[in-house]
Amino acid sequence: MTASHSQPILQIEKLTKRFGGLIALSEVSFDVREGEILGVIGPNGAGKTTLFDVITGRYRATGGKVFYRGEDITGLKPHELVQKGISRSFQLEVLFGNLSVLQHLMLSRHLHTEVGFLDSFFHTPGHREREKSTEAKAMELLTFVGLEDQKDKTANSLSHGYQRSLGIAVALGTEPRLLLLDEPLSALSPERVDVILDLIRTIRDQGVTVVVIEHNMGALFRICDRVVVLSVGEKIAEGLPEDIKENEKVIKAYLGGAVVA
Amino acid sequence: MKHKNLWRKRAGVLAVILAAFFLPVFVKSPYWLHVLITMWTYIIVTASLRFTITMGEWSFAHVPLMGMGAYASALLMMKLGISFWMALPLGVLVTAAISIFIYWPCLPTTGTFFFFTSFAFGEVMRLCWARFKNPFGGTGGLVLIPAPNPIHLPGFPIIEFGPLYKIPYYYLGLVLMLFSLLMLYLLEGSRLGRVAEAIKESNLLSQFVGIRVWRYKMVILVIGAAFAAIGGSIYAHYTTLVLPVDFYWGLGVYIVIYAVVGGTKRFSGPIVGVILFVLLRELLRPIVMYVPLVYGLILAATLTFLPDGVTSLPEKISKWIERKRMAKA
Repeated sequence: MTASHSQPILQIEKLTKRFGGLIALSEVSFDVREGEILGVIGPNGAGKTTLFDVITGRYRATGGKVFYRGEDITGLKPHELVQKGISRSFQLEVLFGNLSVLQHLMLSRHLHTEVGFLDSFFHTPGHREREKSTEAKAMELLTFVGLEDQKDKTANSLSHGYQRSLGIAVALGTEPRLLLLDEPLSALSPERVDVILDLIRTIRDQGVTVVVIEHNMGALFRICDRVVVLSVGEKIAEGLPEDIKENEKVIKAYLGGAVVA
Repeated sequence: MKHKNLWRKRAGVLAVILAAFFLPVFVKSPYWLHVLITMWTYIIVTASLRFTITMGEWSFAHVPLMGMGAYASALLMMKLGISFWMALPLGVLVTAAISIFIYWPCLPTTGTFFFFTSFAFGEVMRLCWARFKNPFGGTGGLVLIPAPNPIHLPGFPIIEFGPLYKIPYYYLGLVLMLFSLLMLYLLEGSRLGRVAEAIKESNLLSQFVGIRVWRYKMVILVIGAAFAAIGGSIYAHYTTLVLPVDFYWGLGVYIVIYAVVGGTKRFSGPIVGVILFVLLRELLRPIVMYVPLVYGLILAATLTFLPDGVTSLPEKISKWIERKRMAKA
């Protein structure tokens, strides 16, 4: 698609992560281009989630570097990366369990609400006004992901599908330019899968670059521009979805166990 | 409906405050005044502990930090000769600064580990008071701590503090308690309170919406320590004697029991908890050796039947009545 000629928003260079003797990622390198949807696939234990955890500062890389818009971001903390415009969702729902859906969105605006602490302390009129505009923005996002009717429910009481949408909405609330989604389709009904796929496409069309980890290859290939394939911590293929489908190494990795390179 | 409830609540709070102000008109016995003065300090300490709990970690260094406030303000007054009205805020600042060092090594841990590391570092500080005779007075502590300086208000008689006058201490404690509660209440409603709630619910997601979790946790703990220090300072200048053993871990356990039985989810929880236990303790005076046993049983019963504490009872009852009504209809 259009993305192929633009500059990389994220460059991953020989990224390595070891947990003791276990090598979760071994010298993985690839680029994410501005404005594309990049799929990351691979069998269980391929290191996909570890890849996200290392990029987003949850874990420290053992080796290698990550560049965001040309800037070295290796080893930065999550909140610093969020500030730069990198946001992520989680595979298992990580939410503020007992808080309402609206509160989630208000919190996701943390970096974008200028609150004088004293203003919020004394509940000044200015503070109330800003609260209102944050709430309006939060409602806008909720409508965007289709959760406007659920705004007063707690995250714990939502169905699995809604929780997934909420996770994405919270990630969007930080106004990312690069969004990393960790298995956004897993354990969803087919109708819900279509809803989320549409959502991801719309997010991309609004100018956000999206990287998606997914097991559901059929669904993923419908939306992504390019695919990176990991197996046992190594990148074994990278290319257009139609090429990846034919790639022997990939087929072997999925059907015949791990490929020994 | 909601508005009406809010006003009723406000009127209720105002009535309680007024009642507290006029209580000494009816309560003349120095003994009961003493009980009430101690109650005010415990309310400050327990409410500030609950404030730190809103971000999900239980600090066991809280009572030693209350002790630090007691030592700091007493020593400032005794060694530097400054007025109590300066020593109190300075002591609070000193304690807040020291709490940063106490909590620094604790903060990488969470949950049970935080509870125990904060216990350990609080205990280290407490043992320093016992070990160093200068300036802390060793295990014998500080004695003859001066009373607060008299207050001269133009047009009023001079208010003097001394061992024979309980009433000035009563109002000193009451005013400082109301001030602390107001501050803690406003803090909880501010941005800081919201962030604390978020951190409690999910440390991980908080980081990924851009919250500087470490810094916010530290700020909350330091604020908690500062208010504990206010309680400690009143205690020191009222009793005129502080010992390292006054702030041993047992008091920490009692404070936690007050907070839990009162309920940590509501602001009123620790206040109600302290009042209940102070009254209960007076009831138990004939069998004082069984106090820990009774407290333990009450704690166990609360955790089993009312995990959100006594203050969750009204809501539970009204829900129960509603359910009955629904079943009938």
